[in-house]
Amino acid sequence: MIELEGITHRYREGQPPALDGVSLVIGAGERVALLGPSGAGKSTLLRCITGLVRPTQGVVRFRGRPVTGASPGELRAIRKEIGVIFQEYHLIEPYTALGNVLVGRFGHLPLWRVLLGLFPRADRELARRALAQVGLADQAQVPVRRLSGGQRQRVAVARALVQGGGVILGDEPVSNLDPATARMVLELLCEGNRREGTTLVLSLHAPELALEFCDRIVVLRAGRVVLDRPAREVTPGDLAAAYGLRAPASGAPGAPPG
Amino acid sequence: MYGTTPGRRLVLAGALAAAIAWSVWVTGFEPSQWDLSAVRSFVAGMFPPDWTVLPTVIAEMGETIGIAFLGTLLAFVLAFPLSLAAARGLFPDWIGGLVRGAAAFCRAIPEILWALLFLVATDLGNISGILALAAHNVGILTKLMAEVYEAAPAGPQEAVLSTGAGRAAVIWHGILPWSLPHLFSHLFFRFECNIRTATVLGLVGAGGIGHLLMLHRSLLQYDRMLVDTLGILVLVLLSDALGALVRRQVT
Ligand SMILES: Nc1ncnc2c1ncn2[C@@H]1O[C@H](COP(=O)(O)OP(=O)(O)OP(=O)(O)O)[C@@H](O)[C@H]1O
Ligand SMILES: [Mg+2]
Repeated sequence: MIELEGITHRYREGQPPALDGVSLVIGAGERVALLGPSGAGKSTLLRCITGLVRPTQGVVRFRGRPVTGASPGELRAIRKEIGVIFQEYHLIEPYTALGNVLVGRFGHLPLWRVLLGLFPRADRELARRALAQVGLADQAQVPVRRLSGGQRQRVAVARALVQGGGVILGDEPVSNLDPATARMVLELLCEGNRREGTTLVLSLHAPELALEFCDRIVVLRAGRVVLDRPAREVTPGDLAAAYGLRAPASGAPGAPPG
Repeated sequence: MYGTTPGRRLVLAGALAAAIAWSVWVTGFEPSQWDLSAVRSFVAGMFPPDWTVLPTVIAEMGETIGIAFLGTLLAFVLAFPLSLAAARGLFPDWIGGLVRGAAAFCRAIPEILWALLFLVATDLGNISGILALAAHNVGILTKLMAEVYEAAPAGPQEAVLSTGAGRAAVIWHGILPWSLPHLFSHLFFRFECNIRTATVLGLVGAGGIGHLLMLHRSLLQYDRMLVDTLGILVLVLLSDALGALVRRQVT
């Protein structure tokens, strides 16, 4: 479904690469957790998959179609199938929560509807349902600049949910949520995975959430894949080694700091 | 200035004195030569002011506002698509360069020169005033508005882009919602400037209160000129107040 072949990306010439020869194949319906210390290249990797970053070297393919070097039209078709939850949410500040969620439907609608903001009833209902699912049913008409950080993050999750493309890339989708709400949101994403086979690639800072909700763990460090293993086979010692720490003496789970 | 040596200060003072001497020489600015009797007869001619022209003055003030308003609006309507084309990163570079060049040309020519050109071409005062304001301001607004789009945060644009939407949607939903207050603030500031400019354009014949002032001057009706001048004063104060009000609303 998603194939990365020898991806190397440098934001600036002469600097160490953000991604350094990453090769990864992600199958349909997988739940992949992307772990790694801050600055490891998780966001860059996710941005390469949707073509927001064009890697300096290597090939990205999505459902067999090349993303690198795709024409603008092909890129649009690919992006339509990938819902993205951005690390910094990237909401449209003056719009309401509902208005922001409806942005997720843009790729499916004719241009005149997008420009006039006239959405079919089915799309409005879909967006309202998604807001209710992330616990924001009452905030639908509130401008997002008046929402809290965690509420804004959930609006971004709802926007990716209504896109319905079969793939969701989440860049730390629960970073601003309390533990209970974080589990609720991850549960919601996994439900889409179970019911509709949605492929999930989630970068996370909390290894224990990754182990609980994902079936495959990929750890990046300094732009390289240092661990790629099914979640049930991953031991705390593996994670500590992947993060570049010594194995914790106590062997307690979740030892690597976020 | 601070921290300079006495020697450098002396050189500076010498340069200043030389500049004053040279400027007085080329301009013939010599108070001893002033003919104060002309000033006395001019001031005497202004009083008492002839208030019978007040209705005409008010009508012409309205015309000046109308010229400024239509000139600004026309400039904005033209600058809206042009500024999108001029903004870096939205359209191919050669289009942007072309539009930015044309806009620089438009604003390099002062309104008064545009007005003279249009007066020669159309021989119609008000229309020349409107077109002159539009021609100069389309250059200014294109540049200012393009700079607003370039400063717009990239995040919302990426969010719209990553849904598979095209460039029109990115501009409309990713850039404009953030830009709108800034665009309006520029627009109203230009309107405020244009009210003042429109009075000056009248002096060369492009309609409005300035035109009336020129007419009364050529007829040596100084008592009426005084009323015209008061009208211009009121107009400028009004536009200042309006601008302050709008800026408080927008920002
Ligand atoms: N726009 C950019 N311009 C230049 N360098 C960048 C840019 N974005 C990221 N980098 C650099 O690339 C490297 C990887 O960044 P990236 O954002 O992918 O890390 P990350 O794993 O997502 O980190 P975090 O967990 O803090 O979000 C970092 O060293 C960062 O400084
Ligand atoms: Mg990141």
